[in-house]
Amino acid sequence: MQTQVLTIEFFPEEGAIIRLLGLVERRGYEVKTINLPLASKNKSSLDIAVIARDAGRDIGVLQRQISRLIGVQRVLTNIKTNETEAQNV
Amino acid sequence: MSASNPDQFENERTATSSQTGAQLVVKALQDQGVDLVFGYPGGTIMPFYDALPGSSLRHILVRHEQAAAFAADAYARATGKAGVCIATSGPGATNLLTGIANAFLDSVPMIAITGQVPTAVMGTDAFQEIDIFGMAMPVVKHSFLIRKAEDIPHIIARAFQIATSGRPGPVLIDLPKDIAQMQVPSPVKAILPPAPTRQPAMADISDAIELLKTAKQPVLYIGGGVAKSGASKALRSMNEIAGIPAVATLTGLGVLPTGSENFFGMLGMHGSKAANILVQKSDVLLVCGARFDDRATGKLDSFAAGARVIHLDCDPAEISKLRHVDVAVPGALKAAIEQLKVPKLNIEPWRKQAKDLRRQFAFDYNAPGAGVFAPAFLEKLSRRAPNNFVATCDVGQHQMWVAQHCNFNRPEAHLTSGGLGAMGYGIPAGIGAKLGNPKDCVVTITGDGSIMMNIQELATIRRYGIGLKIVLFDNSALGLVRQWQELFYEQNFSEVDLYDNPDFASVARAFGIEAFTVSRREQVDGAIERLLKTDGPVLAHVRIDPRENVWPLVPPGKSNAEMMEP
Ligand SMILES: Cc1ncc(C[n+]2csc(CCOP(=O)(O)OP(=O)(O)O)c2C)c(N)n1
Ligand SMILES: [Mg+2]
Repeated sequence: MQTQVLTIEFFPEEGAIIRLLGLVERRGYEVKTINLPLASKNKSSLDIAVIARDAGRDIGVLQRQISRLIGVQRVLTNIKTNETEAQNV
Repeated sequence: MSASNPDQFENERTATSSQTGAQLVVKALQDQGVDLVFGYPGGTIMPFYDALPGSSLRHILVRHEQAAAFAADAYARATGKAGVCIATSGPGATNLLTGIANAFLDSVPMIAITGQVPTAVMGTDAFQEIDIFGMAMPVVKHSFLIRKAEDIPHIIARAFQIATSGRPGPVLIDLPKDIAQMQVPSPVKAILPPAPTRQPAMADISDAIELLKTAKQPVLYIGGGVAKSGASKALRSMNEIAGIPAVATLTGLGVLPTGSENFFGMLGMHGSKAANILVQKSDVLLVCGARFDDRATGKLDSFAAGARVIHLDCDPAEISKLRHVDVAVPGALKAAIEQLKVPKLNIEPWRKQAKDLRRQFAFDYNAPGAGVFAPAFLEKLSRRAPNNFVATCDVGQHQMWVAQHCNFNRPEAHLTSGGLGAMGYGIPAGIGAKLGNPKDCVVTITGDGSIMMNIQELATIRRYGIGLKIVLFDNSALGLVRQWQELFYEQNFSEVDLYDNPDFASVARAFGIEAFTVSRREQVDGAIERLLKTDGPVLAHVRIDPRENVWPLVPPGKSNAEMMEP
């Protein structure tokens, strides 16, 4: 299975990182690498490489599930090939 | 301060007076229009309980925190307002979890406030310290740990906004004791920018209408999201013109009244045969506010295999999660349905076929024997009950019989633990629903297994004189599990026999609740009359045959086309 990279921009609240990683794990992905390159008072960014634990997992669904978390500003997959704005609906 | 990010804020203060954090919590709840909360006190939440007397909040003391969460959940489903439950740290908080998970899976707006040990000892395994903020993460829409007392008004306002906007859900607020006790200058009332709502795109709606116009055998698939987004009326109006045969999930029942022309019953594992056949044969499936739960779809690969799917949902993450969608309409559901102006479809042969199926597979209430036949009891009860009838269910065979056989004229009339399937929901849910709408005729339908999971709440009913009617179907068994063992485990009955149940009528009376027992069919009319006539709390203990099963049934892992019948 292919490694896919997500870049998640989020508001750095207490628990935000564990919330993001927990969701990725629960939705059936293995976290291969993580990197927190940028963190300011109001904005953090998390780069994370993931591999689906089984076939039939759609990275687009994961992307939307991350996007709906409160405090997530946007999620980019595979380094900007497939950009969506976070929608906190 | 950025106006665009509601989670980024600074507090403005009025230095005139000072209050404790706990007093701010009470005030912030009042500011949100809360008048009723369900809870149970303990060490770390004591500052809140200290601030409670004399406030305008009515507190209902349950006898187990799980019941507080279930009652708050049902209160929310019944009233449309967020339900509030409160518990202490450690065991109080963990006891809430099942109820929080229940609200999460059924998208119910709820605020759960838990006490926490003082911030200085957090992370030291202090007495009754449990990381509920971490434990609850998978089952909340969002959560907050309050670190500064002056943040309380903003966090509580934001929690309510999150819980009730978009796709609703539970929000946890963990409140350390020192924060609750701290004296702070009163901050001004928090005013938040309105939550952004994603509006459906006109282009998507046009695509949906065009696809529907080509359909020869369309089916409307109604989920719990329709009622949650206040779109029931819009959907009824839309379909009065379009005339699409409709089915509903467990939580979508009542959006179209049970007996209405275009309604063909529940789909899925214990759905009606007509509903499942129609969905399987459909060429276009119009799905509104549903998430393709496996209890509804059966084996996914063969679910409505020939249908093109239109999916309307407020949550974009549900689109194509399980079933590929041909036309997606993400965005506010009510707005989407209001704009979905489908003309009368030219599908008379299909409508006729649907009605024939409904007639052919109509349920037969004439069971052999002289015992009480639960489906007939429920059908009669819901027909005789007044228009404001509400059923709150526990989990098991009795729950499925309610879904199959009660008449519902509105979705709020059927409160059931759908996604979680949590035994123990019924009685606390009855309490929440009755307190939310005291004039409603609220009936809890429970089983001899389920009632024991929250039977202590009879004391709550008694204390507050809650006029809840309880129908307990006693088959001396964990019936639904027994049924599966009979059908799918070669009758290897294992740990499902409740032969030594207590005398439930005596138990109820010991709690101070009127109760009676019936076991013969000729007693049913009298029992229903007595239930409906009694003003105060009353429990009807109804003995039924343990061998009775729920039919029809789609075996687990099978296609909805393969329904088993007795
Ligand atoms: C908290 C919880 N534990 C276990 C189950 C599994 N379960 C589903 S139905 C059922 C039996 C319920 O028995 P009862 O309340 O008597 O209802 P009946 O099926 O007999 O009508 C059980 C054990 C569950 N749904 N919830
Ligand atoms: Mg039973």
